[in-house]
Amino acid sequence: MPKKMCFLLFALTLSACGGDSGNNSSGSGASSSSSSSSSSSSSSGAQLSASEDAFGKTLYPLLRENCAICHFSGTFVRYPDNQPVPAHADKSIGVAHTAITPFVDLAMPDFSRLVERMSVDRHNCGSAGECDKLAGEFIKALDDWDTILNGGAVAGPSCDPSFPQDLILLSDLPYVKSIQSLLGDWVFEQKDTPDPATKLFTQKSTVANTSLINTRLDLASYAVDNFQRRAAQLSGCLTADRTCARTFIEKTARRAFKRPLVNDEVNDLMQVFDSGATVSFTYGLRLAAQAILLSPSFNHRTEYGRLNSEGLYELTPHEFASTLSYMLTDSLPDETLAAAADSGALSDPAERERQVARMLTQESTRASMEYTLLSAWNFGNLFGKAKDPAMFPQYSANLAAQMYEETRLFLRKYLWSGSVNQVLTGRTTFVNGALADLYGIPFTGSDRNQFVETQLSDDRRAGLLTQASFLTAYSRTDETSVVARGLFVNGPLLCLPKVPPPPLDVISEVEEQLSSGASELELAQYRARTNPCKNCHSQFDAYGLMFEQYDAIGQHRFYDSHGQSIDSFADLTNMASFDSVVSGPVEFAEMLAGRDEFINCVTRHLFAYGTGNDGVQSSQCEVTNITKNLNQNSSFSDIIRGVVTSPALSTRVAEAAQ
Amino acid sequence: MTMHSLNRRKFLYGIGGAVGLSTWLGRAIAQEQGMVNPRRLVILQRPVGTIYQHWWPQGSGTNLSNYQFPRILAPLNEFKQEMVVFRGLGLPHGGSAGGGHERGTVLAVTGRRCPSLYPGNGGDDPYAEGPSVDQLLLNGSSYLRAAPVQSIQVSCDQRADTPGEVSPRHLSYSGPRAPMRPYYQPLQTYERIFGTLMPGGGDDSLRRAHADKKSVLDFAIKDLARMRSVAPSSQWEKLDAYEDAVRELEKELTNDPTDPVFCGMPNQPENIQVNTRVDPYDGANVATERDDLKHRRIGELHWATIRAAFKCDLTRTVTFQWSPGTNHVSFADMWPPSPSTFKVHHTTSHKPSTADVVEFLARVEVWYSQRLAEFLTSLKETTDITGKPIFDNTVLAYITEVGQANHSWDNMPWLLFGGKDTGIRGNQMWTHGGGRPSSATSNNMRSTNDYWMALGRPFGVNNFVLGNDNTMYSGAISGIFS
Repeated sequence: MPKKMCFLLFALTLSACGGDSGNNSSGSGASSSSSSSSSSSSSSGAQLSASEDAFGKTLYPLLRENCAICHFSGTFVRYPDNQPVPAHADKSIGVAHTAITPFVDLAMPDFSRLVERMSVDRHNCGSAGECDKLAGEFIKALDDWDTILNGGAVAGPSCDPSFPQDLILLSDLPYVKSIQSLLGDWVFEQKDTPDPATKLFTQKSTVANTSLINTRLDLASYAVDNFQRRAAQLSGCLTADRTCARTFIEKTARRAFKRPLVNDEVNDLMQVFDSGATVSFTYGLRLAAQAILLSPSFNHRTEYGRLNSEGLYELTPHEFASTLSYMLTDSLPDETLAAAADSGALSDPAERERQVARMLTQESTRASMEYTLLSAWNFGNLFGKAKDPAMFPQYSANLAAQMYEETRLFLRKYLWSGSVNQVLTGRTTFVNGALADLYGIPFTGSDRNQFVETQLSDDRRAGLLTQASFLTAYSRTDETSVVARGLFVNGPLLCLPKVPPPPLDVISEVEEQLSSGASELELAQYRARTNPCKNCHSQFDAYGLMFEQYDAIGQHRFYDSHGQSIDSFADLTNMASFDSVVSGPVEFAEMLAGRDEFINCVTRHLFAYGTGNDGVQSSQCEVTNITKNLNQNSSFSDIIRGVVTSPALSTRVAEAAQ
Repeated sequence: MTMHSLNRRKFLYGIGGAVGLSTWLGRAIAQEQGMVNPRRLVILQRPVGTIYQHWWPQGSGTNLSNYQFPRILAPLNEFKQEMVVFRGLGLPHGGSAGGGHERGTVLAVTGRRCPSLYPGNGGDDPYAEGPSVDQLLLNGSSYLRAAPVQSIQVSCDQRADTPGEVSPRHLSYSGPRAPMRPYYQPLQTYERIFGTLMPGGGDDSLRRAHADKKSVLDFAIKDLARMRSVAPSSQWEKLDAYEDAVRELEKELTNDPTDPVFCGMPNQPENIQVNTRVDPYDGANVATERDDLKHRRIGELHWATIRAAFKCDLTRTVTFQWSPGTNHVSFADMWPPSPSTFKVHHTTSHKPSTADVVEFLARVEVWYSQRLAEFLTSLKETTDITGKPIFDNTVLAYITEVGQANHSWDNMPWLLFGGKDTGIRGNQMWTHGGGRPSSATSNNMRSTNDYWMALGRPFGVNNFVLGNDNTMYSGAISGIFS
């Protein structure tokens, strides 16, 4: 049957039956609707029609991911005639299905109004390329919807590996850590090394140019100057023995280049050594080391892979070792991992799991992963935060660093045993004297500078969301920030649908409001009743208001800076993703711990970091293929294992094939 | 230059001269013979826009001599003959993302749409999606490329909204998403230009250092060839970028070392403690420390090295940033009610535009104009290898990343300076009233890309086009250079 006829019959079916049943209304017997019964329920519990079921498996997830901020029932977003915009991304599949129907054409999906909103109108979809990509995804989803309705099978979202082969230039932190792994931590002073607390949450943003190479030349020079002082001892060459030098250089280069060497490479490095050895033997070692540190082979890692029978590129054991090591430690594979790559053992998935399990027991790996998660949450911004010294005389750069350290120690406790959801609800934290004072709790240690494990006994605090680090980083200089804190929950914490930035023409009004002296509550109330602010702010301001009982440096309070009493209850009904009222952040966190969003979002972050693809969404199949094997009891290590064993991490495609 | 002078130079060249003179003299002689034109480009950015009421010249017509300079431009009065004031320029921001200063900086220096953001970094930090103007002109101009150090990037303060923010801290990009880090420490700028030669020192140790660097860089080139042989073709561009960078550094080594004393720097810059942390400040943006004195000193030291580098023709392309738009630089003696108060520049600019705030911002703008006047004067008073003032062959673009404190990208307060040998038609008030406005700007402004495109002429870059498509430019502004 021609697609168009199917669509007409489908539309008639809907209009006759209100879209709730799968009965044929046509006597022709040629109905586009499947005779199969619905296989799932709407969120209200009612049985879904065949069409709703097919919609739920195909187009609906895309609409939820991309449109849920505005397009749900109860939205404030309105047309000029004051009618609400369609609710095609509603929590209820049935509601969404009804809403989207007038805007899709299953017979000619390219001409669907929904598709045109992306491909022509560029409606809230980013760049032209991003809009076209989404339009393409909608078209495919509409095709799949129609296929299912016609009794066909759709293989589920294609999740073949799609990340291309890549050559990755190490960013500053991995570059320096790799040098330290190779030559020793001591070749750099602490103050000269990049701070892992402020690392960029992406491995793939560094590009070569003269200023970068010049900087690396200087860094390498500095490191090898220090190396030269112990060169004899480190190389094991206690006499000026060229053969010994060659052995050392070969071993060092092999580790530095993260792969076996070819003969030419060693000979070329020996030429460098010989040039330096005219000054002295150790100077020769120094110069060869410098050449290694500046070489492109050391500065890069590859994800080229070897072509397999399916036309995909499997990372070689050495490449996988590098990918794994830089994901988990921001540094070179250690000797054990390198040996597993050398022997080929790392091709075996079981060996990979063993290596991961081994690495996860190491302090350096755990510290690196903690910093990675903190980077995903932008907690490094704490180090640039200034606060009003008159309002917060106890605040200083030192205190900010201590707040960060508290959270890092907290993560150390809760990430590595038990469910990762403990990060939301954990009632044990680590405070020094200053933080104990901030929290208004007794300090039980003997040295106020030391961090002491402390039980939080009241209901004011539990978990990450009531820690000073988050509350301070996401506040202004002299006031809290409902918007910043709300956006943190919506974005970095739970990976909920993205919120577009405010339109340009309201920026000056926003500034005016911020300078008006109104309280945060008053500003939120203003936004809640004002167009166009309420359209988006209705989706996250409620989260931010929950935290008003903590001031701009995380101290608990009952009254805000204007003397108004604070109500920490949060009405999360009518929000795109929740439908409840909570008494405050502690209850909110407990609610979250019984759901999937937080674990899914942590998975998304680790996957994004490991693959270097920071645009990946938590609803993408590469991530959902991991999260479907997780549950509320899953640990952080479970998530890491899931990411590491994902085909997306170890397989690439040729760039032209994307 | 007289025949006598030329013969004298050849004589010195013949006897070897002092340390490092041979290369310099070689260039001087080539210049004499008309083979080399040391034309220079400086892009100098100050932050946070201007105060229009104290910026726009008062007068009418196109002749700047008929205009009175208000207080912000007053320090530049003596340069009227060599400058063009532009009114009606707008950043072509349509389709781009990012915060006011962040997006503004990227658009100002690359002229290309920037729709994607770095993860984190405050959520308003756009990637630059193309090379910057200085690098485009450098790559297209044989005049600019004929210098040992192809380009230098300096900045006088690195503090911004967040520790990781990229866009407001960079004026130069070698390619898409490839920021070129500026030197914050004047000593680093000096060492980049002059290497590690101590002023007046001997040249054996420097030759050794150069030989070592060359040995290391040679290995890198060989390694690149090996990497290219196994890399998929999709990755060759990245290897090309690495190789270009290495070869550029190698080229810097092929010249004889140059004694900075000879170039007018008898001493190397002192080691300055560059601020990396934000000073505490209160809700009224009052800081506990004043930054302006150190800020000025850092600028002066950078500029001294730049001037010396120009004198000895060691570089011809410079970007100079006073501070990111989202800066935390505090100024004393500027806050009208209380001169002893140290007010933070950027954060104060976002306070309501009271008379005091406006006056503060105007005074800071005057401060930057005064520094610019000092720099330009120093270029006029220093001669280069031709024996002429450096300024004669220098084009200086004075820009900022927003029009005014409210992040507007209209009526960008940009100036252009050029010495008499650059061909600039100075003494000009240019007002947008003709030519097609850019649809990527707001309010029918003429795109800033058109300003940059006009710079193709003095640097011999024909058909210099900047921007993704013709919604972002109309064409080089005419009548700026002959």
